[in-house]
Amino acid sequence: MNHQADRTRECKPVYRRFVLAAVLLHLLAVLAEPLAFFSRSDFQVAPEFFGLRQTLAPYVEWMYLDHGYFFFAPNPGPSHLVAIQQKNDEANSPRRLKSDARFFPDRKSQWPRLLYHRYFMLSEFYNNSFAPTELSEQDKTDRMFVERWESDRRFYESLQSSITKSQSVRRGLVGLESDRIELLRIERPLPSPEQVHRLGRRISDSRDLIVLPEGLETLVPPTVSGVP
Amino acid sequence: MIELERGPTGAMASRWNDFWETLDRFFFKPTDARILALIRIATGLMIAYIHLVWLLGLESFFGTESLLDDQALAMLHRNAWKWSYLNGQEPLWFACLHEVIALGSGLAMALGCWTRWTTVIAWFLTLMTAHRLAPFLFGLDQIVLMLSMYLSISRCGDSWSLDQRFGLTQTFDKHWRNTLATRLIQLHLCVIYFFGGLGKARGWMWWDGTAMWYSAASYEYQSLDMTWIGRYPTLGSILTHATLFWEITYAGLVWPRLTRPWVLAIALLVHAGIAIFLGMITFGAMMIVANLAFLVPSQPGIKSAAIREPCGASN
Repeated sequence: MNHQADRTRECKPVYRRFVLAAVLLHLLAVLAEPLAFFSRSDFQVAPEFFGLRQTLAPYVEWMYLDHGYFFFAPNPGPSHLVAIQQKNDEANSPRRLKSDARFFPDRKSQWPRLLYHRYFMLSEFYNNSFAPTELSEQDKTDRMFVERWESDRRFYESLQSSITKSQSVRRGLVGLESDRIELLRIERPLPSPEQVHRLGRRISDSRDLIVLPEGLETLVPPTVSGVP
Repeated sequence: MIELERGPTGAMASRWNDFWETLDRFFFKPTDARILALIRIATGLMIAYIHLVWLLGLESFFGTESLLDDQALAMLHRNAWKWSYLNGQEPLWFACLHEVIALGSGLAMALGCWTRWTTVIAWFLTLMTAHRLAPFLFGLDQIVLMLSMYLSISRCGDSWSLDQRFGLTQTFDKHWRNTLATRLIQLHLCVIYFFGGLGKARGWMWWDGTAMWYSAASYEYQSLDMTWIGRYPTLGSILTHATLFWEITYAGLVWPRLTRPWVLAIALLVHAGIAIFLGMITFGAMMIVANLAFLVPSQPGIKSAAIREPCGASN
């Protein structure tokens, strides 16, 4: 018997059709999420892609295939950070960034770079999960919108509570109960080339940081932090 | 003429047979494991590194007092099929043990030690961590899990491995599962780039040529200052459009042998740029590694048609 032939393994013809069927199903699962993601509008998801995604949901989600592959898309946007600080004593005082606030992500304390990036992803996720404390009068008339907001708000509060109670946050604020800690959503806008090259603005300048409101944006304007 | 003599049914049957043969060769023609072994080594090392970093922040990421506790995790996954035994209530010692085993299996996978088992274990443990820590993940995790999933079905331990060196398991020169795994990596990559490109095409910055500047001007991403590109708006615009068109056309142009080297060369430049300037050295490196799936080991004397026998099938 030819030794070389022994060391080559062919797929048995009887199995090939089954393997191909499995491959086809798997490739449909790979396509299901981006197709559903891209065919989503304010009104609906294209029914055939929605159906495909729903049918394959257990496989797509558990196998971690549920990605839209939106890298730096549709546009590169501003970054979001989370500031951790002690709450003000007065209940209704404006939320301002304090000079002793800690941040995540933080290049100085979170090293190596991958660890920093993990915190950066959490701060972006926290910002994306934001649901305002209340709805406008117009939005309140839409029952489905209200239901979705209630669900989103519950999750946002749960995430907020989880972060403030965590060991890693409380470690930096020794002796402080978690209900005395507040998290601020911070945005760093992207500067234009003119602002950097003509006006000499540095992209790391913390004076540009914006504290995002927790309520309706129309009611509470964002505040520029002013921290040096 | 021949088709007329056969009649329409015969011609159709002939075409069907041609199609089936091409498909059969595309997915099943046995190939060697050298390229997959390279991908295995890089992916195994990256899996080990990923779990090392999770271990560095163990208390922050795992246990009942982590940044994402069991209640928040349950709400996040309330309507999703994301089961993991790491559910937010795991004791720290258990999470630590899990991460140490995952790190070890990543290293064993890289070394090619009982590869058929350690690759599956490394993929599974990384998947369990991914479901536990979803808010902390990004493109790196998508690529690493994608590669380790496909490597699990391959015979990537048959080259450059302890398995081969010391005969730990039976190895083969060529195996059909190497071809299948290579094809799945290639096709999955095409999906990633195609939709990545379509996503960018929805944004105006990728059309007016400013996306390169606004990527460079993000302080949180920046690892090496590239804001000098703002002084050369035409260069920034050309790079922006080159990235956009390369990404959209990747899925079509990476198959013909004429265009493949160019497409892969641009992939190398784009991902090296992401790694060096945008602070994602791990992600950039793994994307370059994934593109290795389109390399063909040297095969003198073979001049097959590009589409009928695309890369990998004619080894």
